[in-house]
Amino acid sequence: MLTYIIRRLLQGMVVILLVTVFTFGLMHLAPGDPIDIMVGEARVTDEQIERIRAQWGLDRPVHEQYFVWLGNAFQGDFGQSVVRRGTDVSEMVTEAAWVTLQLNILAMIVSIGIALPVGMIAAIRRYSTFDYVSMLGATLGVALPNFWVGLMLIFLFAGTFGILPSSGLRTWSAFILPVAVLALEQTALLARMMRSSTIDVMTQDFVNVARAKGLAEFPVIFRHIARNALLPVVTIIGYRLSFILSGTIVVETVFSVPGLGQLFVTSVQRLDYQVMQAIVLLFAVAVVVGNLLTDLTYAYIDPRIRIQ
Amino acid sequence: MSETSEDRPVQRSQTESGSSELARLQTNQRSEFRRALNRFMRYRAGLVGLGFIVILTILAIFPMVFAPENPTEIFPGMRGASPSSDFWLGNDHVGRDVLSRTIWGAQTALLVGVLATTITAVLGVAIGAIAGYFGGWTDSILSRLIDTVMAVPLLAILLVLAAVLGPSLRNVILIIGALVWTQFARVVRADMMSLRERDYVLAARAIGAKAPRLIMRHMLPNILGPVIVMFTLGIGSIIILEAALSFLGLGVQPPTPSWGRSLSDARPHIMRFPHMAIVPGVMITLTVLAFNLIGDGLRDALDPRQRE
Repeated sequence: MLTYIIRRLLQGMVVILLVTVFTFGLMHLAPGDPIDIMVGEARVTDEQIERIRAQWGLDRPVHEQYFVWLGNAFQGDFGQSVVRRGTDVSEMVTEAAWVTLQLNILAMIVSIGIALPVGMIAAIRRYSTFDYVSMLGATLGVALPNFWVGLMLIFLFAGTFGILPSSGLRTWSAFILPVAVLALEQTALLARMMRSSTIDVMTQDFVNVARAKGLAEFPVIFRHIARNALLPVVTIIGYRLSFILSGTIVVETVFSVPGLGQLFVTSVQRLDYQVMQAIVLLFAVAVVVGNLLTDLTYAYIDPRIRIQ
Repeated sequence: MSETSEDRPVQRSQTESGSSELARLQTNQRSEFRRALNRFMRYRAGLVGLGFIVILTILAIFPMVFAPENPTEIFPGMRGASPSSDFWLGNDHVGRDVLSRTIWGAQTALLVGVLATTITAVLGVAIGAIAGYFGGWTDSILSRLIDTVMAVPLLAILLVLAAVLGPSLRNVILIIGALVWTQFARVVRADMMSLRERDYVLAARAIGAKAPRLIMRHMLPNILGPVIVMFTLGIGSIIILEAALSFLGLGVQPPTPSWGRSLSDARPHIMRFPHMAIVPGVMITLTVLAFNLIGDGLRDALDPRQRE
């Protein structure tokens, strides 16, 4: 187990280093002098420019610049936003990340709460009307583009019925629409997986044994089927972090939610490189750490994984 | 799956001459294709999806024949007009014909979907095959490359690259193609690893076949099934990606009609002109749904082991 943990940790660190090379490279991929990117359109004195140059090592060769940038990034210093003058990037990102975290935890609770029971019932009552209707819904849920669903919900609930706010997060009711849209695709996917996972488990010998020894249907379902069927479904949630973050980018923009996703889109549209770099790196670290934790949890629960 | 008589391999005597060897192979090939086709034809939802895509493809190839108006022509006084007998799906916020823009948008969606998926498939199969066949250091390096690309949420990295390189139809296709290949690579890599130890591959190697021939002639044909399934499902998800990029303003640029762009145009007018948003959204959903259904049908037909 220890060698497995160490190997996965090293692999994760290699990946994060490669991502930093990419995010650093972005500034140099763009046309023009990086110094122009860093100061934007603001009027600055030559003296200030020299100071920024020295701070970020822009007068040195590219590989040295990278290490200066990496050192600053490690200390959480991504410089200042070009668009919001005088604001530290790290401050903006932390503030927005909190909003995003709240939204996505709520969405996760909603989708797990709906998907797991629906998937299990569909599997147990296989080929029933419930099975067909819920799986039809799940198939549709995967195909629906979340930004369009968001627009339609705004039209219906903020426009026609006028009962929910269309943007921002000032009241608790403003959470309902963005959380619903964020949860939609996740719910559809998890329900389908829970169904197939339950079907796999249901046909296994130990379930037959449990029934044969005279156990009532209820304990068979909960103690024997549910526990084993949950394993692959719950672990897959960890691997979906990167898709969840993609979803939050779109949904926060549609509902004008001041989270990481919206901050990211506005900084990309205005080419605010420092903010872009910080968020890309944060996303990557989150995904790598998330995958690592999932791997370790899985290896802990299921000993077969460790031996490979 | 029920074993019907046609599913059984044709038994032939061993004494056939060399010339009929070729004929035997051809019959066998045809029967394999036939069986897959029969299995696909049994899945009605897949056929409905296929029908929809055929119609959409015809519209996309000849939009000038089917679109009643020029998609970029602005009709004075028709700003945001509701559907009428002249303009069946109404007009958008500047007075263009929504129906014509939707038909031309199909061309953009399918063009991006098919071309980007092709690039993706070629890259992913090549990288996966090399990593899986050679193993060792080659595999370690390529696997870290795959991990790195997967570490950053897809939409985030697409947005950054589109913004830095400049959004356009060509760039959207290239960027998506260059980044979405990881799933192909992972699946192909795993399959190649298991195929490498098979007897027929060892036999081919024993008679002196070199790596390129082993990979191209003996191994890749055996993983064609999952690749075709991923290709079909990939088109659907790439169409959503293109729409999301265009919705966020960093995809296909005006005046090229694109469903995602139309939704982006519709967003500020969602309360007054909802018809602008409904049509492109329904088209994206139906197209993605159709490709997913075909993909499901193909999975059952080509790769019965991998059912969900």
